[in-house]
Amino acid sequence: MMERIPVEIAIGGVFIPPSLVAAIAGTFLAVLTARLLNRYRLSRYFFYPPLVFVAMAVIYTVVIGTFVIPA
Amino acid sequence: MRHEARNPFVLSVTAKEAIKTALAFTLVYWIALKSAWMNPYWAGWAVAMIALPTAGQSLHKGVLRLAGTVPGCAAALVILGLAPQSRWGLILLTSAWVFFTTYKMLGSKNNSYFWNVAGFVSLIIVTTGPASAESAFEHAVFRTLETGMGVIVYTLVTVLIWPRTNAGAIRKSGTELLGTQATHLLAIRSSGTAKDKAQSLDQVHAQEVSQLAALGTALQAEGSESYEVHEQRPQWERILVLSSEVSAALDRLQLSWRNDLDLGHVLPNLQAFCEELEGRLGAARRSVGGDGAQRRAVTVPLQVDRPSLRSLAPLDRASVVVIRKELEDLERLTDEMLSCATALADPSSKTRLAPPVGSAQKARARFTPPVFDRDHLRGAALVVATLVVGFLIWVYLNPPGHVAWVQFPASIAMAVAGMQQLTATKFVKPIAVASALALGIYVFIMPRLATFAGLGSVLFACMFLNCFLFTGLARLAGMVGILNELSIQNQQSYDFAAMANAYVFTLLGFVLVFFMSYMIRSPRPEKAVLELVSRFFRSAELLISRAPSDQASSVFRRTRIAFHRHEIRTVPSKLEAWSKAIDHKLFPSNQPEQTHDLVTALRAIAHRIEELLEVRGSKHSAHLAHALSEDVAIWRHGIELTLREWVSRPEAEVSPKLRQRLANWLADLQEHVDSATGNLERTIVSDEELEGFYRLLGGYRGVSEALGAYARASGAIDWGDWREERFT
Repeated sequence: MMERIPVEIAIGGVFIPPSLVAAIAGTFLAVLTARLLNRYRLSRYFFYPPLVFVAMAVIYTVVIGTFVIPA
Repeated sequence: MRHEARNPFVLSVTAKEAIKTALAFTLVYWIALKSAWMNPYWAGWAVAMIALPTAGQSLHKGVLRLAGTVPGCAAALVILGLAPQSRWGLILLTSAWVFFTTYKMLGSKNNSYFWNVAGFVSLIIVTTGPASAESAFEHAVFRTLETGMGVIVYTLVTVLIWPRTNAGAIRKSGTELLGTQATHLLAIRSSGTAKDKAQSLDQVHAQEVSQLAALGTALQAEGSESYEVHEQRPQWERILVLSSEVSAALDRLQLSWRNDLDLGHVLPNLQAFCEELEGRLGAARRSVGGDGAQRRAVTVPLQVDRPSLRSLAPLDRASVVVIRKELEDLERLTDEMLSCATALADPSSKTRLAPPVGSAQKARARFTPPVFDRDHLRGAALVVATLVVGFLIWVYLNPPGHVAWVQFPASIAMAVAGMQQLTATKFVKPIAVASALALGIYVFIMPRLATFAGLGSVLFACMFLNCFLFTGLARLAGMVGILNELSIQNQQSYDFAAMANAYVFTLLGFVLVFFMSYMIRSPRPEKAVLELVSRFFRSAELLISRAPSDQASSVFRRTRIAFHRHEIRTVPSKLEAWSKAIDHKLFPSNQPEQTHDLVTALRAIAHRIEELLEVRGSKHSAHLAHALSEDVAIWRHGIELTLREWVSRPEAEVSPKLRQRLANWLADLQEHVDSATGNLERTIVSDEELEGFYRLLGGYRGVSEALGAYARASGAIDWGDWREERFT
């Protein structure tokens, strides 16, 4: 079995950890989802939206970190 | 249209101020680098923070910054001395100090910045300890030294180059304020349609509030730069206190005034009396403005036409008694104001300042422990929670930023606690942009500089552009970017990774504070408004339900009552601030005018309850009170139920049904007062007792009317809209 080699993303010669990129993308997607939920008044079905926002950011980050930009 | 020709060679005020700040900023770096002092950016921060439009304001803030640095450093050294090897002991002691300073910062009117500095400076020095304990004292000394140097350099620059003084600001603000107060009194007694009158009174009230604040600021600023003003400070402070008391008395009079009563008939010399009060305010205004013409107060006792008063219905009689009491209070205050203004205009005059009214009463009053402000405690808790979480992040995760996680987010939290309506995320965007630009300068320009001439030019240009182009939050973000990202040291070395990490850490610091603010209380303004309304009615219900004898009860009960009185007094202003932060585009059914009416109605309820509590404790006829005890009990029970309902549902019973019920209670009360006063011949009731009784009756009437006004204002608001959950 092959050992997983740490992967870094290079932007203009600067190496950036993939978890940081995944976290930024996850937060961005969570913001986008929250805006859509607000727009269609779906946020009223949540008990406490701020917590839902954190949960969404974490879920998106994990999904992106696992499948899109794996470390 | 006429266009004024602008001379391109004449610098604008903004340009001059930007040049002054940039020059002072460059000079402090030059001095600190030349002297090989530790962390030259400390002096840069001092200049950036005290750069205000006038010399007096800057000097005042500079003195507070310097004065706050000393206890901050001392506290940090004591903490490091007490817990040198214990991380939990260190964080416990630091938390206690930061909690104390934040609470004081939020509660202090004049020295708020002093406590702010005392708090965050202690964090800066404490965090140097774990890294290099032996240099903690050195850090404290250099921090104080460089702050002092920054204050001195900026003061010299601002005084010597294009000086802008506050000279005359106090006199100007004082004259304007006294003029507005005279207008306020005139507007209260003017006739006109209820709507027009309410509008003009609202306008005058808003003007008065802003002028009171302006006088306070001018007193601090001009007092710092003028020896003459400094010498006369006690008189000016007395004028400020009296002005706020006059303003409160005018508000109470405005609430009690009734245009539907023929007041001129019951109080025959009302016009002459009011003209005398307006004359006193006008004369005080001239004296404060430096006009030599002086005038003495003429005593005009407010006469009451007894037969006319007796011919009124009991509740109307009660209104007249209350109005008379308010006018007499105003008479006493204006008399004192005129004496004080005369003493100010002519220091050689023999007019002596009377001791503040109420000080003797306060001295005689029974001991009540200090009352804590809930929101201030909450702000202090936010800072401590952020500090502890930052500490845990550093100890267990140690991400980029390292020990700065203890200091930086807690310092931001202190700023956020002071402006709770401003969420931490509002800072993120401008700081991200400003720091990115500064990082660009650090990477591409700074490595090419070899002498201070080059570095000084870059610093000057950065600071000038920041101060010239931006204001408010954007300017602050620019300063954070310049000071944090340029990272100028004596032995300069360049490390892109370190600065990129610092950039990410700066933004994450704000994000942490944002999350922490949710832990303490939702920073969503509409939710804060709902919570404050609920708190207001909880306190109002408790105060209404207390029997008058409670005022003489145990320390615990008195503290409880004092706390709830503090709540109803302060909640309307807090609510006003939060309601202004609501984004009305998100809640189109609730417009600013509606929230303004709501605040006004709550303020009126607070005044009325205060008045009722005051008269409940005063001397009044026990016979009459006993005869009406049943009616009062029914009234109180009904009001209590309504208030209890409003705690959870502020829109409950806002229909005309409530107003009808209030009117019915008052009608019943009136009927029973008639029969009770009809039997007065058989009892011995002194005039004072009778007046006290009518004031009590006026108190009940006032509370009922204020609740009716709230019901109207609340009915116009869509509470469901605010209650609906949404992402910010």
